Amino acid sequence: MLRLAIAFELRALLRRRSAAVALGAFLAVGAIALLVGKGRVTQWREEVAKAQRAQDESIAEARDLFAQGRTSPADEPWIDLREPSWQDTYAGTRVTRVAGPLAGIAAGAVDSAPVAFKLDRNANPLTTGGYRIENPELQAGSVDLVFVLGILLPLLLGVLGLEVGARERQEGIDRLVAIYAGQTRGFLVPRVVAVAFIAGTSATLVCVGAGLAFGAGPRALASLVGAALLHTAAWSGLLLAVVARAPSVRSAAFAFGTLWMVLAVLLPTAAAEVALSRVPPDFVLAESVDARASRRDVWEREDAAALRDLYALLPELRRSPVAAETPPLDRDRGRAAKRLLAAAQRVERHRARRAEEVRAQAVSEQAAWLTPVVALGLALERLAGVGPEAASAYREHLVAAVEARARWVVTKAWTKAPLGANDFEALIAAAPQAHRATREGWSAPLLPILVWALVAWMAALTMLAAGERPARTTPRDPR
Amino acid sequence: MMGLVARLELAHWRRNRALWRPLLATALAVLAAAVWATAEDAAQREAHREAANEARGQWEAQGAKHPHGMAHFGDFAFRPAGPLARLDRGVQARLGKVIFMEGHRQGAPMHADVARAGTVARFPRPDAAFLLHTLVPLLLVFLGGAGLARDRESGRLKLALVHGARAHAVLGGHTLALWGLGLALLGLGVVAALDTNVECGDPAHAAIERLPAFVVLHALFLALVAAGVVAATAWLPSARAALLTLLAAWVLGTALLPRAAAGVADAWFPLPSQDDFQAQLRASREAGPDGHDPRDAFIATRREAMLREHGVDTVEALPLNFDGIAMQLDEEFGNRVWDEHYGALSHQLARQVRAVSLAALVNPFQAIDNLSMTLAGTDLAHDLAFQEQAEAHRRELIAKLNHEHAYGGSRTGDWSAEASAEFLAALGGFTYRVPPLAEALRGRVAELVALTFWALLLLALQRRAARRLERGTLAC
Repeated sequence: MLRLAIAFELRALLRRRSAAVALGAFLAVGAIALLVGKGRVTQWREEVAKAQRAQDESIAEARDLFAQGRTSPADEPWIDLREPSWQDTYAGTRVTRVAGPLAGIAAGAVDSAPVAFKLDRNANPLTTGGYRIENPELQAGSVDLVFVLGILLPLLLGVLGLEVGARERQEGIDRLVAIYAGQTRGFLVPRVVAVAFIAGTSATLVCVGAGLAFGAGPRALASLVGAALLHTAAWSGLLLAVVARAPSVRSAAFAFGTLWMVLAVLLPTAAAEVALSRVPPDFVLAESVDARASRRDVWEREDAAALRDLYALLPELRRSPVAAETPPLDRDRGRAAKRLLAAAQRVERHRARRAEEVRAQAVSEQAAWLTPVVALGLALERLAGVGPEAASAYREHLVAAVEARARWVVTKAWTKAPLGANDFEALIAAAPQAHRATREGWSAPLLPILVWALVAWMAALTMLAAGERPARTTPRDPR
Repeated sequence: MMGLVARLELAHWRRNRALWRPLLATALAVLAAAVWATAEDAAQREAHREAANEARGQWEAQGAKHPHGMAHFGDFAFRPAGPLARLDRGVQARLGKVIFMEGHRQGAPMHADVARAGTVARFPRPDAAFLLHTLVPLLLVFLGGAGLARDRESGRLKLALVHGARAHAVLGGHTLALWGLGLALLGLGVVAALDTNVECGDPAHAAIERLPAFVVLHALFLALVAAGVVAATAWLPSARAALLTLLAAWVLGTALLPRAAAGVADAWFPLPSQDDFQAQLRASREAGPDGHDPRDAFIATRREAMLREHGVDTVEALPLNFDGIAMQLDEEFGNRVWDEHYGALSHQLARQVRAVSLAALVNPFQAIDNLSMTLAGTDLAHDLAFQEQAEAHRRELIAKLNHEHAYGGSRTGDWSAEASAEFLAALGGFTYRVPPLAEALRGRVAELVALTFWALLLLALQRRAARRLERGTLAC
């Protein structure tokens, strides 16, 4: 029966211009999404490559100076490569972020972190933005795979499958067809499965295209295809529930259109509203006005207080011979110490921001249970390694790296021993590794989609079964 | 006759209970969105006042300080909500809210709300305008698609024409009914927003001068939708074909074309990457004077000129603090660099926006979306105006501090001299002036043309359909 239904629906697809146009449009927009994603990933990799080149040039310049036995370039005599602050500068460390194999599938994600960050003792990862300068009026509508699979795939299912059953009912031949098929379920379910098969195949094609375009491995590709097929299953269940009862094509269109409007447009936007309204309307005072005050507080702190705070952060310094000097905080040490204190403040601020981001993300996770569209978006962003969670994880990596670098500068400045080429090489070797987003938790949002699929299919089958139960009649009087 | 048909249609909607649910749901959605967005907007305005006060308080609490120290201490500009943000929040959530203004560099807006709201922030926020641009047209499509088709399928249309009714009056009546419904929903949103604004104790921000334009343009858009729905139903052979065509147009207009236009604009007028832009700024900046570098050649030339002018041999003998002059020299060169690079960036952004505006000529949904956020003051142009004003304020502030540094009584090399607390307190904070409506609309001429063109085209199509119905060349 299923094979017959698939053949039937394929023939119907060829005959119905609207269905063919919808399928063609879906594949075309899918191809555009891949092109957009490919462009983004290429730009990302170029930025990383440029950052890497800048780091290499800086290191090469310092190595050249060391090789010549000099501590500064001829035209910049104030530079002294024996000092930790200059070694920090010349290390030119760039902490990069590796584009995952599927980074292009969620090009429309809100990702506020850069892809390469220049690390030094002064760097502030909390005030950096994304690697792209974006026009907000354009950013409000991006074509990516999240849009294609989340928003367009259900529409495709609707266009392909709204006539299933509803047309027979509208034309009054549903009983006849049911008699031939044995049961209404016998002709309705295989036809909806056939429609789901066609839509799922189209989605798989787009996903495979993404895998090929972005060079994803089989595991990543299988995950992407699995998510797309699960989403197809959930929406085909909803389609079956609609066509199980719709008396005409128009009412099926109205019911499915309403479902799509609610699940794909209104609930995600309502979730966005909830998430955005939970963002404190405080103009980020903690990271602007308060941060400025604490920065100034650090720089104006009395030496004794600064030293006390420094020892709290680096207790080993208290045991060093310098601690006995009076005063141990000379100009260089004082500046290095205050930079470390400022970096430590940033760590605290980042901790608060991270907690806020986790709370904000919890809204998205809850919204994933409300609609499969949000769940799919969440799963694909995690699979792609982009989006708010990935940005937050990268920023955490950067904050820790800056603090570690500030600690290194203080520790080296403390001894006052001139540094050499070996120290420089050790600093380069100890530079933080490129950050790779983990796909951790990517499959968790698939559970809500699975639940949606199961509930939709069970509800649709129950409705069909209930529709086929013979009407209860009054028992005939035996007399 | 037209009024009678419209009243009949309204009576049908009233009698048909199946239609109540979508009607009520849409009305409730518009009402809820308007009330919620207005309350949020009032909270934002209050937060804006508090943030500005806190930043100002911190500035004044510094007391007497070195002017250049205060140039680095800096000031903040907080982006206020657009005048009609309670009706259309536009792209506000994607814009940086805070600009840090200090010496030596132009500040960029930071801390957009979307960066703090998680994955779902990729979706648009529902407000009255969003629902008027998406949900209300969809409702009109479903209601209108069924209305004339019902008359045609039941034979009432033919009967009415046979009895001498004018087809354009019948079509006009259906259009009027749909438009009336749209206007009622528009009115509901606007009144709810105004009322909530008063309830929130924020009537000062009613933005009355922009409200009529907002209402008129949305009324025009809804008329266009109503005319389009009726024209499609009249021209197409069946209700199903009309419904499918209208739904396809809706999906195209609201979801696909805006994204396609954005993609094309982005590809045709690409923006530099953040790193490239910063690298270009740095390179241009390094070619000029550095106020903190006493060996700088530009500074040295100016120093020599000043020494000659005052007839002294050393900067210490100058009756002023040359460091302040050097800082201002640095600043003025920097300003030229910022003007060049940020100007080019703004130009490229404007070209992207213009490309999208041209796309709006074929997509009235995009036209109203763009116009609406411009009227609300929540589009990119208003944000750029905010950035320009903040930068102008920064330049004025730093110039005054540098002047005090140079001519405040200290001598060159004296980094301990302080500007008085009174002087620093007298330096005013940043105040944003909303650009006049006419200036804001100047960038949206294409959208205004598009809306008018589409309204006229659809009305003409409807008129032509009416003539053909009367002549019997169109099935009725």
